[in-house]
Order: sequence, then structure tokens, then C-alpha cells
Amino acid sequence: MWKHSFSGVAAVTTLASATAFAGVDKVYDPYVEKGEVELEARGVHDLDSGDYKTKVGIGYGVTSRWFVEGYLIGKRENGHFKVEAGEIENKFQLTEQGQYWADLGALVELERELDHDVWEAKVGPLVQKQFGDFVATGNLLFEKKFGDDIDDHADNGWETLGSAQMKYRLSENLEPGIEYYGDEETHAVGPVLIGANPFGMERVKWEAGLLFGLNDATADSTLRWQLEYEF
Amino acid sequence: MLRIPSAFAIATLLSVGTAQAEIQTVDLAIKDHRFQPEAVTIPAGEKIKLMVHNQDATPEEFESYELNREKIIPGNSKAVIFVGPLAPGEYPFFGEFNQDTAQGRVIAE
Repeated sequence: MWKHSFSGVAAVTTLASATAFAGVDKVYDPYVEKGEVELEARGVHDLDSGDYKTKVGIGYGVTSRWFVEGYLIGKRENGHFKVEAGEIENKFQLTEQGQYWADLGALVELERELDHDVWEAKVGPLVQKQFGDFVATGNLLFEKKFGDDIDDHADNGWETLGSAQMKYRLSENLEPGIEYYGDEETHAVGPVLIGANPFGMERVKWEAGLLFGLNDATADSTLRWQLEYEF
Repeated sequence: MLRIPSAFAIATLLSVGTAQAEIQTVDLAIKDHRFQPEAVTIPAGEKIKLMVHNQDATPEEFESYELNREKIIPGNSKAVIFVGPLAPGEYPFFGEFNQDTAQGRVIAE
């Protein structure tokens, strides 16, 4: 009984802390490079609680339209780190860059918790438009959880996540920008730096952003980072 | 609350841009790890379609920060790269896999 109660409290606490930066991830461009191999690591850190979520993955451009990437996902919550889930992410480039008024792609993700029968699917469009030296990118993803072990008391319908980025093409090695991330509970906005070839390391790309919560449900400050090596 | 109809709204918005005039095609070859021609002249202020034919057996990556384009072209294959509309000027590009020899530029005038 005590164990069940403790689990319930822990679950609620975990849910609350996880929700704080649930919407912050990355803003996807809609482009695919055939034959490209990508090693990627990224993380999202709640700077108030110290909790974080991190992903490491390897991806491959199967065709000029389809890029697939596999991830392992770890989380630190309430002082404990655990590799919690695996994910397959598919990115589809639907139009050639510059062909139409805006460039369009699509993202299809499937994530499964390693220890529980909890699945999470995400699907939605990726849009990018260049305005001179500025590039605007928007992602709109629809997410649904399913499986035998999902929380029956939660709203398990489709949820919506939105993200947007406006960056300035300052130079090949550094592009400043601003980002917004939101889901149905959290909203965060803040600056981001996007870079390439740090310290002369070719084929390395990086991103770092600091997001500020816009409501009580969102962490006051969230750090996100990303490191990619492409070959 | 945003739902599935939002995706259709975006698709509809994008489709508006599909009604466009005929786009001029400009041929560009990659042979012996060099672009031929190395200078491609296009009209300023117009979108053009670069038809890049990689005649080498090995892949090449067309890359240009100035043109904001990056595309891998497998060996003995063709790829389309849309460029512009550009302001008058020169825009360098290069082959990522053979940078010593594969250099070129788009001249918009």
C-alpha cells in the first residue's frame, strides 16, 4: 500500500517535472541528403530542477527524400538518470529546396519505453522559407501515446506540439536566431546560436539555445544543445 | 487548439506557390572532379533550375553557403538544384568531396 502510494507520488512528481520542458526539443529543417551518415547527440536541461533529457543517435540518408535515424533516450529525473526509451525517426523531404514559395517536409517518429509497453507516435509537417538573409522554420507535430502500460487516467488523445525558429545567416560558422517551443501546456521562447566547423572541425555542426518559460507550467529557463557529425 | 486541419492549411498555403511560370534550366556538368562550366551566368532576379550531371563514377556534393544549397549527387547521376531569385553578383560554389579542383561560381547579371 505504502509502495503504491509512493509510486503514485513519484509518478505525479515525475510527470510535473517532465512536463516543464516537454515541448522543447529541436526545430527540424525539411531537407534530406542521400547517403549522408549523421552521428547526433542532443539534450534539454531544466536549469531550475537539474532534470534533463538527452538523446544519442545515428542516421542515414536512404534516398534523396528519406532520412532515417535511431536514438536512445535517457532522462535524469529527481536525481536519477536512466536510459528510458528507443526511437526511430523518419524525415521526408517533400519538395526541392527553393522549388516553391516554401520548402516542405514531414516527420514521422515512433518511440517506445524500454521497460514498459508505452509507445509514442509523432507525425507532422516541417516547413522552411528563406527571406533574404533570414530563414524561418516551423514544425507542427501531432503526438499520441498508446500501449498496455499507458496511464489510463491521462488524456491519451492526440496532442499538438509546435516549434518555430527564425535565424539570421550571419556566416557559415555562426547563425544567431530565436526559437519558440510549445505544446498544449508549456510555452517557451529564447535565443539560439547555430554553428558549424567549431575550432576548424569540418563536418561538425552545433546548436545551443536558452528558452524562457512563458507560463507557470514551463520551466523558467531551459537549456538545449545539439552536436552533429556528418560524413 | 491546433489539430489535423492545420496541416491541410499549410499544404494549401504551399500549393499557392506551385502555380509558377516556366523555369529556365541551366546545365552544369561534373567531370574529372571539376565543374563544367566553372562560371554559370544566369539572369538576376529570376529563379532558375540547375541540372547538375555528375559524369564521374564517384559522388560529389554541390555546396554553397552563399546560395544556401547543399546536395549530394551520386556518381553517373543527375540532380536538380533550384537557385534564386538572386541579386546581381557572384556566388561561389564548390564540390565538398573534391574541393581542390571542384570550384565554380554563379554570376547573376
